[in-house]
Amino acid sequence: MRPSYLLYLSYRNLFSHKMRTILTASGVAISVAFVVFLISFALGLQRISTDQISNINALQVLDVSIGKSKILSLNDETIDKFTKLGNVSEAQPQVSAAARIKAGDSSIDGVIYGKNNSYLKLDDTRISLGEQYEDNSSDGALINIAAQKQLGVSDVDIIGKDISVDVVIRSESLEKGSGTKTVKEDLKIVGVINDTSAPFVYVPLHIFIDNGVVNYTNAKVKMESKDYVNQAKLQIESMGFNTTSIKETIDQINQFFAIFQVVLVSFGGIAIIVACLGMFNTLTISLIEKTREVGFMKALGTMRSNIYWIFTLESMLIGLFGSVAGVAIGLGAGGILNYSIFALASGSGNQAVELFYIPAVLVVFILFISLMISLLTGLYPARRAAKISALDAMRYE
Amino acid sequence: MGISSGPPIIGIQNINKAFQVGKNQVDVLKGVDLNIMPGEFVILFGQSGCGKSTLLNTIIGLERPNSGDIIIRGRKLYDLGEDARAKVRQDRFGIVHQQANWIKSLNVVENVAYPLMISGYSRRAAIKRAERTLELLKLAEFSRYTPTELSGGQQQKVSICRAIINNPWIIVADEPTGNLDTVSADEVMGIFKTINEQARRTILMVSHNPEYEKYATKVIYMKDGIIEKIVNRKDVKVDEDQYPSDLLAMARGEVL
Repeated sequence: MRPSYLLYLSYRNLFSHKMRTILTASGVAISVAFVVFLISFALGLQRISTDQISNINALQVLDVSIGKSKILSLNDETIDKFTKLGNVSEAQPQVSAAARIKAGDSSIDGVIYGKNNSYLKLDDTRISLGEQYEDNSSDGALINIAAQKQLGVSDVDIIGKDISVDVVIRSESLEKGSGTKTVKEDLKIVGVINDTSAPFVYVPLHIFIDNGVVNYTNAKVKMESKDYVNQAKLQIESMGFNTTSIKETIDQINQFFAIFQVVLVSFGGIAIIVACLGMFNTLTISLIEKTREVGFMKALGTMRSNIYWIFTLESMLIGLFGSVAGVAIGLGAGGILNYSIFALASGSGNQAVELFYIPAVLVVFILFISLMISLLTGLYPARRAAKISALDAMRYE
Repeated sequence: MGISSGPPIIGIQNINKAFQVGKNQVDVLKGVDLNIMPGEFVILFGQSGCGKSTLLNTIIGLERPNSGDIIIRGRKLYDLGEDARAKVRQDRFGIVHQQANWIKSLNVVENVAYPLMISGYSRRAAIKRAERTLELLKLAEFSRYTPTELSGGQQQKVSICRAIINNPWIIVADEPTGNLDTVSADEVMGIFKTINEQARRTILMVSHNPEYEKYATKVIYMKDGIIEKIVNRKDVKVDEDQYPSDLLAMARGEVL
């Protein structure tokens, strides 16, 4: 028998029981849609969380701080030590302090960070207006959007605006024996940092050093490649310092999402098992109904393999209809929700995120798997139909 | 016994068949010997349970005998495997049952075309020939119907169409008129007679209606699993070359 005719016979069989076929395929469709929806939700969430921090530069960088130690200090000497470790490409210090920021009549509380231009690059500082200070000996400052808003300076006036800051320098940052002191610095804004959290200001490191700062708050150590991060981490930690790296954080996030996905996929798997039982039931009933028919098809000279294929193709067709519809529903639901979030976010002025995301390869994979599962489900009824004796089948009522 | 010349088309050699019913063994066929010659119209008479249907099923390769063999044109049928025997049914036999059986999801013409489809014909060629066959028995108007929408007589005529579409050597019919009224039954018997006389196809029919004796060239009486007697009503001498190779051509003098 020609394969096209086998397919035609299976199709006619399904078509002659429209309701049953539609219900069974819907079962498959719902479970596949469920799986697609859950996986794209998990992948979407994961992408959102890692996108925020995934710049390749950041993966090579280790953050070093003294932690709670009272004896350790992070000064030019230690920075030099870090630079001399194997595979380190650079080490950059940073100092932070509390500050009162004044622009014209308004003043706000915030944090001031002393860091040189190379640190900004390591940190991947993003500027929304103006530019970063290139000259580390200038009195240029970067402020964030939060500070700009609270100071009430418009985008037009902000670049080149003169501000003054009262910096509270803690004793730990100064030479031993010095007490906390407050200094006033006049600065000129050269750029706005794309950040809306609490107000802060970045200034070149010399502003602090000129005021007697010798101990830094923390440092960034950049490796030649991300493969050396773990090794440098061990070395630096053996000196007593605390380290954290974004790579670790990303690893943890990915680990969390891997578990999250397994949980979601198991839910989907349960749905698929239920759909398979439904399909198995339909195929078995279909076989019982068609026992006589199978008998006389054999009496007319139909080969066993042909009977086998008619039933197998039937289950595969149900699987195909169901999984294609399921993928469409799953993708559609995710798409609609994405669009709603987008509409909601742009309406309220927030940043829109794509909450549901699934790569095309995975969609194809899910289609393939569900087809294979429906094929497996159809195997037993098909074998039974192929093996049944023609005369016994024709006597079957 | 046989008067016809030449080798038999079907040789039935010492067939024994027993069924196990509970703890008892029931002998259904007890050493049946019979030759069916080309061109014969053979009717098997006998009461229910005499083993005639079992014999028929054995002949078409569905019921393996306990001993003995069926020889079809010189080949032992039960030396073949299940699929090879299916192939013999496909190519050599046209089969009509007492109750017409249908593939319910297919319409009349598709059901008639089915034997051609299983032998690998293209759908178009098979449907075309099926339509011609239906025309031959004046059933063309029903070709798009669902088979079960037709009357019993019409259904049985459609199943004759299905039995002859693959141009078989032998038409095997198991009480084809058993469920029909007299008028339909006569019509169906007439069709078998035409197929036998005009296309010289061999017909083997099971019946328990003695009135049909007149159609037969050979009548076989069976009782309790043995052949009681054989009556040759007419000598059949067939020179197969004289008759159309395609039995559908019988009524029109054309070969499809």
